[in-house]
Amino acid sequence: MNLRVCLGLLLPALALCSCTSGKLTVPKVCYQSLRTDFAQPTSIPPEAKIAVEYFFNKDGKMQPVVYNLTSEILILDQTKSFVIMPGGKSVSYYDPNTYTTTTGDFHSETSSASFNLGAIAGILGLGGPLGSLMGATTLGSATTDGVYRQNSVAITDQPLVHIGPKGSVAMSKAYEIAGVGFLGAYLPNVIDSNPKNAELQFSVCVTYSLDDGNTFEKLVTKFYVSSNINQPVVNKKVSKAFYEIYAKKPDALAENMYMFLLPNDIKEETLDVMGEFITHDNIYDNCVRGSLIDYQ
Amino acid sequence: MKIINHILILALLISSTACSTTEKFAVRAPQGTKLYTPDNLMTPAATASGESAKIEIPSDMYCGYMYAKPENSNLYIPFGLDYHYASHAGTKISLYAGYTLASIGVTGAIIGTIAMLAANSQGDEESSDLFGLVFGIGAGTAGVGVAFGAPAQARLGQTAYDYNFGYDKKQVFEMPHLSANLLHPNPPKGATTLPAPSASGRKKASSGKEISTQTESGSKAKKNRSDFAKTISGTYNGTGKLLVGKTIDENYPEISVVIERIDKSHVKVRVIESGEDFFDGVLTYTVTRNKKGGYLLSIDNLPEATITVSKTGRLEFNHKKVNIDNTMYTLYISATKSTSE
Repeated sequence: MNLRVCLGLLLPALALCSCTSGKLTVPKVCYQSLRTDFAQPTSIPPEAKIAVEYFFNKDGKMQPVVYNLTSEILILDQTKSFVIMPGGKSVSYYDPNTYTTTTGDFHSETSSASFNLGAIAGILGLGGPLGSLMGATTLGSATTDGVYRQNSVAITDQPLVHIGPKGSVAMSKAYEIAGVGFLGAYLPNVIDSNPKNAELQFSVCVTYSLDDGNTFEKLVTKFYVSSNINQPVVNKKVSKAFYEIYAKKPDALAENMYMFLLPNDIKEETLDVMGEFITHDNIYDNCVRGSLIDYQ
Repeated sequence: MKIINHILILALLISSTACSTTEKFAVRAPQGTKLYTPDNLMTPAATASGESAKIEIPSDMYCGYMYAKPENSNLYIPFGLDYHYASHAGTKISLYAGYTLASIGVTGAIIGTIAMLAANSQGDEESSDLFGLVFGIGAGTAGVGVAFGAPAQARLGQTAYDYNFGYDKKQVFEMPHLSANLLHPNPPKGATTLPAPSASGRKKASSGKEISTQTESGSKAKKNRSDFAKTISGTYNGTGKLLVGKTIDENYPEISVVIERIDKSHVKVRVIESGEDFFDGVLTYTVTRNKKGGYLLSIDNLPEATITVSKTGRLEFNHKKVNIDNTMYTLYISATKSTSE
């Protein structure tokens, strides 16, 4: 009798055990690196007037931050600043009908503990935490926790943006570049492609003036996906996929801008069997390092 | 009573197997390697010290990878974490057994309450006491059931439980062969942008010994008051020749040497011939002042490779250990600094 009661409790419980969101599946590890069509500088000439640092995130969003390197006021004309998407479509940085969220999910992680010289401060040789520079305007690349500090840099969705001497501003939009990040996990494999023949190319044009709007100059930066490696995960051995990528591209970590992506089936929000919503937001399935810089 | 005891003991045994809210595993790594989880690059989760380092990751997190920072290196190397399916049956049984128990207890409490009230209304004190006891046992059982079921439900909401996975108990980090420099860098801004294919079909040269692909921790720069590297940085255009012994193997009527500053006393040097890199890797030189007021560039542990740059910007490149297809050549270049820099 006692045994029957116990079994009577256990069996229904066991039958209900399978009601979860599913089983974790990581089919592959993707490595992607982005480059400009020139070597990233280790120093910016002292006579440079403007520098733009480009951050990318796992969703393919690109966030430019414009630095005024002069002692004059720089006027950034967002109506004449564009992204030329892969495929050639041109989108302006000023469009009152379009709104994209520039959120704090860009990871540059170029603090002293990291190894990529993506931060402009490091390149300019200014040294020290970036927070102490440029009138305390903090750049995402300088944070010790690796998160882009959106609320420390002015973001203005205006046709003309004035940047004070040695100041900086984030462009108003963080456009999604199709093929970058998880969006590009299905691009064909390529290692160190030639910039002119690269499968995925895009560019940004930043228009600015240093003489109170009398004349404008352009800084055009061309980008491309230089390497894209999709390495299958066999028998759930994710570590082996990483090592295979390192074997195929020994300079994987020397790139100025790269990411490791682990596509998986974990959904950020699911409904459990008890009828409640549960969230899964601590998902570390991407490693994004570095940024790209251009100057004039 | 015996039934209740059995149920309680069973629930206790089951829930005792489902108390953990972290996923535990060990990582074997070279001595002194610091291991970091992606959410915290400031404080290492563990440091390898001969035995496997023990790591704990919260169950409500999924870590596809961790970072390993070898001793004496600033490099954070991502490495993947292997996983396996884990049904977490213990917690699930605890949840449903707990709530089943709670249901039984609530039912008993309700029946006991109704019967107790009925007995009271009829003045049957003995029966009222008995049903009161039934209520008490039912309520207690319900409480125990909830006590087991509620925490189990919270755990099942965690990522590792909801997606039925666990990390392999034994993970391994082995130092991969990495190159500290880009193997195929683009030309500097403003220089020739598209290297043309080599017309001679000559293979790329190596400098001296085989270039190490191990990660380098970097060397401490010699302190200088002046920024020598900045002074000599630029592109030098001139002529060159490749010799075997004293015999000229190839002449280069147009060849460039591109010097790029790393820090005050170190530079990267590339030789460009016919729009293509001559060497298969970037050469790193240390810059010092020479007696004539110019500059001497040298490679650590390779005295056969030197560059001199005079005060007037005249460059003499002399490399006696240029390895092409396992044959040693000497490359000599005489060039002047481009005025467009």
